[in-house]
Amino acid sequence: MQLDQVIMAEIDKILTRAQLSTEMIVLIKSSLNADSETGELFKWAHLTLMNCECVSGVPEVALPGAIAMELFALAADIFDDIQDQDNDDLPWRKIPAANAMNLAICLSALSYEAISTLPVDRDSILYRAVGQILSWMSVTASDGQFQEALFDTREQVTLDQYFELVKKKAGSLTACACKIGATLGGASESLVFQLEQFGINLGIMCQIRNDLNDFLNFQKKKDFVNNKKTLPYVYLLNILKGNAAEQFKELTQMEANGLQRFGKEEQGCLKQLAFDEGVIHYCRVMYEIFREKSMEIIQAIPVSEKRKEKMIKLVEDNI
Amino acid sequence: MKDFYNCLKETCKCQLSKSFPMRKGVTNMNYESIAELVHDLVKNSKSMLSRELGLPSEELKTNEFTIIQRVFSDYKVSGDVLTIGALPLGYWA
Repeated sequence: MQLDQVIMAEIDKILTRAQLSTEMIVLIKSSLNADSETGELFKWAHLTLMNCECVSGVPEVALPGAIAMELFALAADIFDDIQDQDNDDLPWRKIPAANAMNLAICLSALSYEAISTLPVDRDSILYRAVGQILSWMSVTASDGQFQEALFDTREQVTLDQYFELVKKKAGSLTACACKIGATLGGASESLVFQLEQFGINLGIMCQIRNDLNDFLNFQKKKDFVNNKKTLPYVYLLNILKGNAAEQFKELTQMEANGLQRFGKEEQGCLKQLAFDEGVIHYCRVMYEIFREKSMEIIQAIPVSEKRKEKMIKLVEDNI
Repeated sequence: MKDFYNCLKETCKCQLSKSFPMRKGVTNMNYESIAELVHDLVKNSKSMLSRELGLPSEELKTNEFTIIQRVFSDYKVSGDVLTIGALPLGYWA
């Protein structure tokens, strides 16, 4: 059986064991992988398994943790889309928000059910360790989401504040997948820490990419009109002076003032401003800096080159 | 455009060699300084040479300079700002 089929079969078992309603099971199954832009399935589970394989050579021992990660990340995505009110074409955005919240709560509880199948050891050390990693990530990521909502209402956010937020919001999830994989692979404390750091940098890279790709995607995303403090937004907010700063401020306040709609002309102005003032250059530079940090960590970890191959390819593919 | 990149190269070389000591062993980045340098380079690279001492570059690390240089050099090759901004799709965030 292919790994993706194994993952799906294990998720099926969890859903059956939980005795969920048919409607909830259908919704969960239609939501899994629904946001995959590349067609790749179970990306969070694979990231977890890849870290386990890197430290132990055997990915399968991390399967319960990998499934927990997949379910938890889906829950986090749903909460994020409810908060941002975007990605309207995804299954959880086509149902009432109250039910989308129930779906997300159910998924986060199921992620703990997934790790209950970890091998029974003395004092349930593995279960407790992975449970603690999941809980800690949940606390950090939700604090990040909370801060993000506060930032949306603020006029000023510094670049330092942006990167601190992204570390919490996106970095904590990828770090959690890496940490669970490494822990279940039996890595030493210092190796778990190194892979956790790798995960944080990977998460920041991915958030920068999303921020840049979504900034001028006015059809699908509402980042700009909602004053979401994405990297392009925060860069322009902090770097512009004089007339350009005034022009940017007017664009940011347009929708909120209700005086004028943020239409095609305004979208064109923002696009021009972004190009002229170096938004793309800055985002690319920051992306490359975090990519280089990720690569340095992988190259420094004390495992054989053979076992690092997939992790190195992962970072190289993100060029 | 050629002048622009020669200018950038010279500026970075000068800063990397002696004029501006790099921070060693510092893990935190100076996001503001990187933003200012990138903005300066996009708007007017020549202005950097004329105000060397005022540059924020003492706050930057060697590899950060190298990456800035590489991104601007990619732009030089592609000639298209969208190409340098094209980041891979669909992973974790």
